[in-house]
Amino acid sequence: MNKEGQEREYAENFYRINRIGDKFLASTDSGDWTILTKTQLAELRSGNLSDNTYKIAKETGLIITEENLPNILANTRKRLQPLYRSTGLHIIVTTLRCNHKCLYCHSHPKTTQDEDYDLKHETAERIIDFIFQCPSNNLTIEFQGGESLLNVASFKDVVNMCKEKNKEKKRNLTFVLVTNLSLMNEETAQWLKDEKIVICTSVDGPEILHNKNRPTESSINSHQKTIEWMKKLKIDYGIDVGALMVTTKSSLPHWKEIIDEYRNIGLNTIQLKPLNKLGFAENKWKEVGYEFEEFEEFWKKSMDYILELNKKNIIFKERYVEIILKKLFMDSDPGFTDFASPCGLITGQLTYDYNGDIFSCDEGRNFDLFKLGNVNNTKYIDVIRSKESQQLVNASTIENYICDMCAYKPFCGTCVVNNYAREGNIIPNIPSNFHHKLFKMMFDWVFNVLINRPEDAKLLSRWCN
Amino acid sequence: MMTDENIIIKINPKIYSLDVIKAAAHILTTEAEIHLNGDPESEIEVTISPKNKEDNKELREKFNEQLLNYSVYKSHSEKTKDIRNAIIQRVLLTNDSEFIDAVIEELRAQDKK
Repeated sequence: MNKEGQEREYAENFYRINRIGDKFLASTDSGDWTILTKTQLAELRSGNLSDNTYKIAKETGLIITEENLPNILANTRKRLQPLYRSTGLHIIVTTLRCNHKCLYCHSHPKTTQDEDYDLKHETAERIIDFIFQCPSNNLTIEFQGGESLLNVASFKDVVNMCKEKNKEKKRNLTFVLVTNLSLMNEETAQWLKDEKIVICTSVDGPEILHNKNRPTESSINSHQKTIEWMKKLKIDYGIDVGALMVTTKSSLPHWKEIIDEYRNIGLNTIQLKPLNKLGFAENKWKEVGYEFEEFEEFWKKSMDYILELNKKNIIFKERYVEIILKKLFMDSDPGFTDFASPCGLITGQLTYDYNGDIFSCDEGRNFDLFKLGNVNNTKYIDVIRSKESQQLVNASTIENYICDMCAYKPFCGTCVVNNYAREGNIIPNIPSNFHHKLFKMMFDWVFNVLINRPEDAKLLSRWCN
Repeated sequence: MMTDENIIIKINPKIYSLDVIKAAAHILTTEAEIHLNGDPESEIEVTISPKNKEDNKELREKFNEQLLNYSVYKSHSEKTKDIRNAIIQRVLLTNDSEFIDAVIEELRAQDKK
């Protein structure tokens, strides 16, 4: 009843509550959310709503009325839209050869001489046929290795074949090259520019740290080569090269230097990515790995420093936080696969090994469990409809009671491959799960800033633009 | 009851059902070993053995908080189950605009017949 004594007609929606200090975050399945005071929450629980709480609850879908139902349906529809997608990201391994021996590599790289592990023309043809069976209008084809530039011929071959095929198929094609840049030359750089290929590389931090994490076969200075080519590609070819970092045990004390390194090379975003317990990292975990709490300390110190920079009017962002903010404040989802339920495996991305084996995702290459066939004898529709795929996609959701109680659920996700690597099971044990702890820590941090640190919240609001 | 080693909590299952107790216990499994005993009809005894002995008081509070959290979640989700399902069903049935157009076309064609 309102203060004029009129009966209000509404139904209570399902919502989740997380306590953050003395406030309460409430969210619904539609991804709408609000911050409530203790009094407002008590009103909501009891059904005895003041006019103000009624207004908030109606606006944010905590209660359902005839007026707000279309909005609730539209927002839920938007959230579930990825369920209707077909695979957009296709990762092709053009070679398993690599001139680096990164401490955390999960690709099982071979030596630079081992040409048996190169993608052959016939296999490439079949991979491309397979990719174009996917009905998506937007196809991103990403080249990974090994080191893709050790097999430039194959990489160019794939691009040319895709373009030829696309004359008939008419899809929106994007090509991405993931490379350590150490084997770049002027001819390849010009070709990449001409073909409008997006380039992404790895920078783990300052020279000593980067080279420690990413030793090379022939003792070349990986850091020097990478930075030199990032600059050259920008200045001489107008190509902005994106970079990713991986946090190893050696990185933990160097949060400030890592961020400064990114700023020095002209980047304004860093993704503070924890180490996956995969490939070489699994074997050398004592040397490179760490406990969650150690990463938490590293991440929080980094975030404090990033906010300090922002206070000085230097816009520098952390990618996970940027994604969370976009999920909270923008209409469209940024489509980051780890922050999704189901995650992006199979329906968002597929990976093709040099021999045509099809895997659920890049990291999935580590386990036969995630192998879904081979392009020589499998069709896209077979992969999508297979029981194995459906089981993996099911396992990549966060449909369990612990997550269903959590107000972060509409914005969160998991990684099946990492869960399997760490726990030996594709169904995670949530209380001890690394991804669960990681994302909860990040959401806690973001909401704590939004609720309790208004000056810092203002700085973060600029990250959504 | 709290010993040096373990925390023992006795719960009336008419207040907190067995599935609520199990859920609250599951959330604490990283921090403690938990044993459930007793009679599901009259009294459940929860023994919490903290992995770090200094956490006794904190764990007891945490367990009690989780009991409340999960029982509120359970009653709230049962109460709103139908409306939640109805929303999801409606969204999933009408999410594919091409499908909806095809159904409308089909209905129109049937009308004409």
